[in-house]
This record gives sequence, C-alpha cells and structure tokens, in this order.
Amino acid sequence: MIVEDEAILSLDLEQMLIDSGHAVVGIAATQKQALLLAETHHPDLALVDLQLSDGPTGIAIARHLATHGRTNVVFMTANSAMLPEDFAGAIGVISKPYVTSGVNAAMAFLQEGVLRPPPVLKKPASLELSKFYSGRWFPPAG
Amino acid sequence: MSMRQSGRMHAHQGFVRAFPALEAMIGGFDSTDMPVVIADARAPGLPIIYTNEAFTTLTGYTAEEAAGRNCRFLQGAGTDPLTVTRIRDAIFAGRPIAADILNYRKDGSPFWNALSLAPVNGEDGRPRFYFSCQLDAGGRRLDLNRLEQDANAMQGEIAAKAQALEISAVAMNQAINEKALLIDELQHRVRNNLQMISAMIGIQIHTLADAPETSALARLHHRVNALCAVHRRLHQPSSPATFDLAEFLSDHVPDVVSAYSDGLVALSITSEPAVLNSASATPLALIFNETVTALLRAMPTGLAGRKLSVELSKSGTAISVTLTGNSGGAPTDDGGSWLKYADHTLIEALVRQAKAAIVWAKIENVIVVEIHIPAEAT
Repeated sequence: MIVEDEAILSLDLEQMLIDSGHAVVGIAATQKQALLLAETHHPDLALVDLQLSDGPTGIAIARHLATHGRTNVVFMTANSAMLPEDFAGAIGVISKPYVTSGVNAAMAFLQEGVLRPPPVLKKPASLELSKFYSGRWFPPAG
Repeated sequence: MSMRQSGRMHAHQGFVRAFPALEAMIGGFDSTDMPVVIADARAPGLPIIYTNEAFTTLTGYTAEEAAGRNCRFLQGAGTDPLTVTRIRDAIFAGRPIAADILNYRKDGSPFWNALSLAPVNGEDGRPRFYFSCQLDAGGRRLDLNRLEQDANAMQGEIAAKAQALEISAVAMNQAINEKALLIDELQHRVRNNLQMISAMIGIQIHTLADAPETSALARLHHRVNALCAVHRRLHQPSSPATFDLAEFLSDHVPDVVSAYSDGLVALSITSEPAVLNSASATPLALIFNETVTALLRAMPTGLAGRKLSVELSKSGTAISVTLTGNSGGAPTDDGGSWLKYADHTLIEALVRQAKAAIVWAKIENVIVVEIHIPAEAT
C-alpha cells in the first residue's frame, strides 16, 4: 500500500510498483485511511510519506503498523533527518527524489527481506535500513 | 608669624639637621616654589608656626590663617582616613613619612597633596618641630586617576565587548541554526518538487505508451533523474555542501544503462571518492548523464559484446573520467555515433559552465570520451 498525499506521486509510484510486478492494495492520504487500509488488506509493505494531508502523521502510522498486524513499513521522504532514531519501527527509508530504478532495486530487496528473510540481494543504495533491521538482516560477523 | 628673610634653602635635609639655624633657614622657604609648613612638635595640637608663600598659593590660606592650626584643617570629606592614620602614626613614632593625601583649598576645591613630613629633633633627641613640604600632586594623581579610569573603562569595554561577543555568538548560532533549518526546508522542497517533476514525466511516458514522443520524454526523464540523484545527496546533514562524483556515477549510470539497453550491455565502473563542490554538481551530473546516454544510444541493439566502462582517476586535485563505449562487433557507424546521438548544444553549455574539458575519439567500434574536471570544482 502507498501512504502519500501528493496524488501525482502516488499515481507514479503505483505505476512503478505495478510495472515491477507488485500489487498495490490502495493509496491512503491520511493516518485514518492508512490504518483502515492496512486492517482491511494486510499488505506486506506500506510505503509511507512523513507529511500527509492530516499533518506529519507518517511516524505515528509506522509506530502503529510496527506493533499491529503484519504490514511492514518503509518511509519515502525528502526529509529523512526528521525520522526518529529507531525509524519508528520501520524497516528503512527510501529518500526522495527517488527514481524508478532505485525503487525497483529497493522493492526487490525488500521482497526478499519481508517474505524470505534475510535478503540475499545486496542492499541497494536507494534504501537505507534502520539500525534494527540492519542488525537483523546483516548481523556483524563474529 | 611670617618671618621673611633673605637667603635661600637648597635642601631641606640641611634644615632638618640644623635646627639651631631654624630662623636663618626659614628665610629660604619664603622664596621657594615648594610649599612648606612647620609645626611645633611640643605644643598641644601640633600647631602650625610657619607657612610660606608657595603654601598660600597652593591652598589659598595665608600664613596668618594657617598659623596655630593643626595640619588636619586641610583635610576634608574625601580624605582617606587610612592615609591620615598612617601620617599620624608616623608623627607619633617620630618617623618621616611621604604620602599622597587629598586636601582641600580654602575655596573648598580638592587637590592631591604629595606630602613629605619629617620631625626635626631638638637637642634632647625628641621632635622639636615638624617640617613638611607639600606638592600639588594633581598631575601625578590625575595620571594615576586617569590610569585607573582608563583601566576601569577598558575593563568595562572588555566586559561590554565580551558580552556583545557572547550575544553575537548566540545570535550567530541562532542564525546558523535558522540557516540550517532554512537550507533543510529549501532542500526538502527542491527534493519534493523534483520528485513531482519526475513523477509527471513518468506518468506522461506511461500514458503515451509506445508513441514516438516517449523516447524524447525518456531522455528528459533521465536528465531530471540525474538532478534527483544530485539532490538526494546534496545538503544532507552529514555533508552540507559537497557532492561525491563517484557515488553519483555508481548510482546514476546503472540507472541509465538499464533504461537504454536490453540488459546485455556489460557495465564496469572504476572510481575512487571524488568530492566536488555543490556548485559543480549539477552541470557535471548532467554532462555524465548526456554522455552515458549518447554512448548507449550509439550502440546497436541486440549485439553481444557491448560494453560500457566508466573510469574515474585523480591527479592531484584534478579529476578525469574516461567513458568507453564498445559496440561489440558491430560495424562502425560512419555518421559518427557520438556526434549523432549526443545533444551537443546541451553538453557544450554544461562543459562551459563547469569549466570542464571534453574530448572524444572513435576507433572502429569503440568510442572514448574523456571528461576533465578542473581542480576548482573540487
């Protein structure tokens, strides 16, 4: 699912995801819509912008989804400095402005990480992992 | 009381030792410019028995007015009691003393009196007279005062400057923080806007599907995406105003390769960290985008053995990047592949802006493009 309040961005992102073989269960522009969408469809992944049409609710959405249900969160933001230290329980962040190849590489990696962890693919530069997931998927040797 | 006599006293020490010759010596004081006072050490209250003209000039008191009074009459409200005590102690101990004491003239105006006071012993060895000379120490005292005032003023000034400095440091920190916030906000907006532009072009390409315009739109999309790649990194908190060309190349070149090839072009990127200033980032990013795009478009599709290599090397602060496009075994394109597929107007304008140099050569099925980046871009 896509949580983004800019219609053009969500449209473009949806097309990118469909083109690379993913199914998009829906697009949400607010916290309420996002949580409803997650409860209804239980998607594997939510791509969440920080700033939504009801305010900077992206972090609260991530915190909720991290502890309820099965949906994993990856932020998509132009202001990753605003993220809390623990990424609010999210797997990581894709920095804006992203491009198709970066999103595709991140999605391929996340698909492995979410469905058959740990991922075998090399982590793409377009995706920054949270400390928790970085340690979980790439434990330090020894 | 005035005992005007002729004769000149050259040194009062002589007088001190020559008590029997007091009368004769006094004559010398009358004409000296040094104010002199003599008090009777044996009379109660140590009354003044002699003052000279210079004393009158200094204090405004005539000899008659001063006579019979204790020297204390020159003191006033501003006189330092500690100095008075010191002088009194010296008198009682029969010791000579020198002190700067604040005295007052008859008109009430204060003056600094550089007092020298010594007992003149009688034949019994005890003080018979007190001899003192006074000097208007105004100048000296004034200097001390001025020094003190200057020191105080300077201290005040230093304190004020320190405070001002502290205030401006706080203000500067605040300004720096505000500036950082402003830059963050600006960058945030630039990134969002670039994302919007990229998305709009992406949607348009999708809508047009296989229409002929899509290839032009795709080239525009990659130009915008090159800017996206620059701005994802630029002004991140960790590296406020620099741009790593090597990072950009390893990020953006595969992106272009995947878009312009059928997945059969072998790509190799050899580089080392090459940090550029942010002003050079955009033109250089676009130059590389155009060059890589042109090299890929010059390759005939479908052929095996196609290769693109990007090699970044540094010589001192100057950076050179060599891009080599090998079309595999394809017959050479006599139209001059590079010339045909590169947007020269755009590349030349960008090369000028970046003060870079670009040279290219075509040898059979290999096109080599060298881009030289001046040291001033780093």
